[in-house]
Amino acid sequence: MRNSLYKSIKYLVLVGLFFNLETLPLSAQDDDVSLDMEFRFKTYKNADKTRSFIVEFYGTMEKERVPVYDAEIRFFNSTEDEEVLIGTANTTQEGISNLTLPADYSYIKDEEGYINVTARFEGSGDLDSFEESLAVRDLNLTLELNESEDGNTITVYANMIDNLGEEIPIEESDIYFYVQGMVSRLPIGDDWLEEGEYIFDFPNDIPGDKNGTLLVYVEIEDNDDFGNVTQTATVNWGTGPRLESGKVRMLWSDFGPIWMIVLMSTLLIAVWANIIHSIYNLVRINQEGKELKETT
Amino acid sequence: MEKDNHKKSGKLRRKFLKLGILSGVSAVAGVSLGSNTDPAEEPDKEETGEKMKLLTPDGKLVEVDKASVNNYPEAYISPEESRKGIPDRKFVMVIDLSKCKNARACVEKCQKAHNLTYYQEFMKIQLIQDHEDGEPYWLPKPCFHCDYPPCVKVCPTGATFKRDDNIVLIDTDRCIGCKFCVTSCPYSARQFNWSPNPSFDEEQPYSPETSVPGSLGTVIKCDFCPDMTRAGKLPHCVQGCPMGVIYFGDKNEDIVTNGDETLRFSELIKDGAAFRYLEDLGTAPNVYYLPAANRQFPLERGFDVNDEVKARYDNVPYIQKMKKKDIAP
Amino acid sequence: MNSDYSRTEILKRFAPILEKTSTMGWIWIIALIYLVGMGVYAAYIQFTEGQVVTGMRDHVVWGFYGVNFLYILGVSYAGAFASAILHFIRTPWKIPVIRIIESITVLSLCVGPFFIFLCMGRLDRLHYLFLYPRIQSPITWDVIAITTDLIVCIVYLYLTFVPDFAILRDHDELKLPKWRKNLYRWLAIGYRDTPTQRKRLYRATRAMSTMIIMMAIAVYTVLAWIFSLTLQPGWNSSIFAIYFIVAGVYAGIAVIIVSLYVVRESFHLEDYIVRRHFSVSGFVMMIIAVLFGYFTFSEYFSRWYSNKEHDILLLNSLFDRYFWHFIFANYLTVILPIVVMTFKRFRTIKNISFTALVAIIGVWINRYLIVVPTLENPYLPIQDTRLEYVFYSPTWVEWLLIVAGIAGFCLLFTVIAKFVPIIPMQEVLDEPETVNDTGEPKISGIEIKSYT
Repeated sequence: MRNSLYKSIKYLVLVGLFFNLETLPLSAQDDDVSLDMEFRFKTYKNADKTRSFIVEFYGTMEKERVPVYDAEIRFFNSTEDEEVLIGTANTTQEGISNLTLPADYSYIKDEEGYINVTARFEGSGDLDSFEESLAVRDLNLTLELNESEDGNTITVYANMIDNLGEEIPIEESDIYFYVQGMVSRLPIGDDWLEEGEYIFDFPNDIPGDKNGTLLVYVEIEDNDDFGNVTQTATVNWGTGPRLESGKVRMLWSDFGPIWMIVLMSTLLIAVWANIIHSIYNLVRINQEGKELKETT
Repeated sequence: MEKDNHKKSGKLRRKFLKLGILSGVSAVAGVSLGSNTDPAEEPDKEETGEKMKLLTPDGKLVEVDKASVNNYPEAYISPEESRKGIPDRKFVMVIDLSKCKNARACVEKCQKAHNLTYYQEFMKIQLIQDHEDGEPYWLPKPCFHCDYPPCVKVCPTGATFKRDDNIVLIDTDRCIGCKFCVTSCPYSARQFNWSPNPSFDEEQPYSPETSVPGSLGTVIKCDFCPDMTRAGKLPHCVQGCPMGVIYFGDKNEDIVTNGDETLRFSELIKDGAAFRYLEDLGTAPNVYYLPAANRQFPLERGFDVNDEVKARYDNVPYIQKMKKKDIAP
Repeated sequence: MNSDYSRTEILKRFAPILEKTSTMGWIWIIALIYLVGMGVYAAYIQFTEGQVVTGMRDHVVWGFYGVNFLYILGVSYAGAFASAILHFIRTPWKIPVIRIIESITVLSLCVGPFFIFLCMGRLDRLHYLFLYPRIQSPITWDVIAITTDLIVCIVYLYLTFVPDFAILRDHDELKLPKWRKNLYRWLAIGYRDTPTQRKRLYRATRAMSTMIIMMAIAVYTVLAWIFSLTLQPGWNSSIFAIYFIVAGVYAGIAVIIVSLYVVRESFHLEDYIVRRHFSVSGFVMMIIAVLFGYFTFSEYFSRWYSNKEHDILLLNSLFDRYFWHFIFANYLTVILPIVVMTFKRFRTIKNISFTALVAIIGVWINRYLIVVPTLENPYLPIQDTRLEYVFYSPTWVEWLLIVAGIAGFCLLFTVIAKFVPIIPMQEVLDEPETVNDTGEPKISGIEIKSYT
């Protein structure tokens, strides 16, 4: 698989770029514009062993990405002499078509164990047909979590599945480790996996969520033979949040410092006592006035 | 192993069609645009002014109005709820001054998302010269969401408040428009809705988390886009920046990202010698700056903006000095 | 107490003011109503079109309105201060001026808050101040203090009016409409000037005047804190409270002097309001002017000497863009009273009144220089904003509303002068020898009167 495959983090960037579309100046309305069309095809093996086939279909105009929306993409599992339709999926507003097949889906493989898949857009109207193929070997990533006082480790086993369904350790591959953050994944290490096995020393200073729980991603990325393969594990190796919820200072709270409330109330009571004293005197003056009137 | 390469890229020459509203796409392309923007669901949806371009499957290039980005009716957060904050989060922002070239993408994207007018900016780009011999640098300035916000303590009605997740928000339903908070903010992060705006009438429930729709006579400012983080996305300015200048994340989990790269917050500010603006005021901001060392762009790249925007920097002492020397950018 | 004869005499003297209004008087009143009406129109424009019709913008968010609010409340507190102090001083020459001072106090306290209402973006939410109060906000302190002070002042003023209402009630020969006579009867609450009533009234008045002196200090302090509790370079100053009190008293005394002059001329009360009044209040004004100059100097001198970057930027602005304003407000306003009062031949009624007028304007500009240039020079320089929005310049709406505010003040003052005698009659009766023929008071010096 030579075509570049996108990690899901890049996928996010794509969405970002999409939302960044700018208003075109009005004068562009009548201009002929030229678009460079892109049709990208890649495959992911997800943690639940399902497999996704993803096509990105868009044009580029003055560095701006214009997605093709609602285009029907057909996916074929092909050998040298036959083509089997395995599914269709329409592109979203982001120009992405995603076909995900279950873990136990039986693909037709060639002698070397490759699954050959072709994604095709038939073309309609003014838009030409596009097509791209890839070949991928099925691979299982297995994680073994080891906790010890010297530090926690993750042992990764990478086994290829041959035509007979036997697992054979792969020779070598890049291997990447991430933990899931709020919106993206933090890379925590990458190395070279050999003979189907790699032991990863898990860093001991990652906070994780409030319980110290971490979602770890182990990935093979953009591999010529295996495409993208992801495996995940939930570990409780985080140190917990760096900060505790801070105390709110009284000036910023809803109620305010006690002394302020006491002081203000005291002052107000003093003033109002005075006002009431005056009104009381006025009432007494009034009463005396009435009495005077009655006597005269 | 790519077998065959029929066609995976090509060129397309197109007339550019411009359509009024999303329903126009359906008419042209014979498709529906999904439930969120289905014209049948929101028949009264007015033009929001925000455009997006799409290609239809038969190759027509169309520009359509996009429904407001800040529209998550399914995740509506009421003013009451939005006082609490997102649990277990402590949002922080790190801005790498060495990468900023005043491209203003953050400003524009933010304006669109918050229905601001051309002159209202939650994010302002300052041209700062620390001292006479120092080279000026571009400083994007959002709200700093201070831990001890001077604006919050002076608010007489509690219309602006500090949440547990570090965000300082304004509830414009509560704001009486006294503007005391505007004068209290040492960073001039706050602005005011001086005149009526058609977007105020937009039919959408108001949430302090989205800051839309706005209302006349109330104070507005950068809100750190909690609606976006709730949806697992980055704030609009972070997404908008083409240079990856702005990192956003959670201090609790110690992770920040600019969309391209994800880093440990503590390492980033340690290795980058991050500082906070006007630290001595004791406001404890949650926006950190990485100094403008080893810049990626010369200062002048920042003047590659339209004349109106360029004129906004005319009163900067550095520019005036340059003008005197007659070598103004 | 006094004979009915002298009562009738004094009533005759004041009856025309209360009974009739001259043509000039009517023109004056109609002109004032017109100006107030224009102000109402401007306010309507502002409330329908938003505050964009004013010169206020994102940085200078408080302009004329804020300054005027600050100023008018200062006048009010000065009035309260002066009248309460005069209450404790037993001197006959205070009698003709005391009601004028009290009226100024209450009227400015009524007019002032309108300017803070104009400054507010959402007046329709005014009640939120009581619905969602935050005790930490200086605005809350202000709201509490001003409302309380308004009540205290009104009660105080009423107490001082009661004996005069009684006199007006007791004289049926006044040619007044029936409703006004009934109103006087109601307002006089059966006051017959018996020794016990007199004692009660005095007791209440004494308590309230003590209160008013303290309130005036407290309220103006709180008002100053709105500015000095922020971090802004030009505002964050510990002397602001006392500085504001002094400036307020200065402006207040000046307003009193000008009002005395106007009342004297328009109602021909030359025999009651005499040169002595002007010279005494002139000297008080001079002392306050010196204090005002002292605080102004301390404030700017310490900023200049300590040479902090943001303070210097502010001072540069004051001595560049606001040079003449600064000279007028902080030099002329201090020096002129000293010059006029030092040389005896300058000490004429006209000169003192003119000096007071200069002080009225000067202190106003001084307040303006505290509010506006500071907002124009925040910590982070104003950039990325339309250049024409960096500096504040008031619009016609603001000018019109300022004029309408002054007109409203004058109108209410005229109404009060028409409604009750502007010279408290009862007190004149108590002191029949207030002034002699030469216009000099017979009793000089100060003595504390005891009623016990």
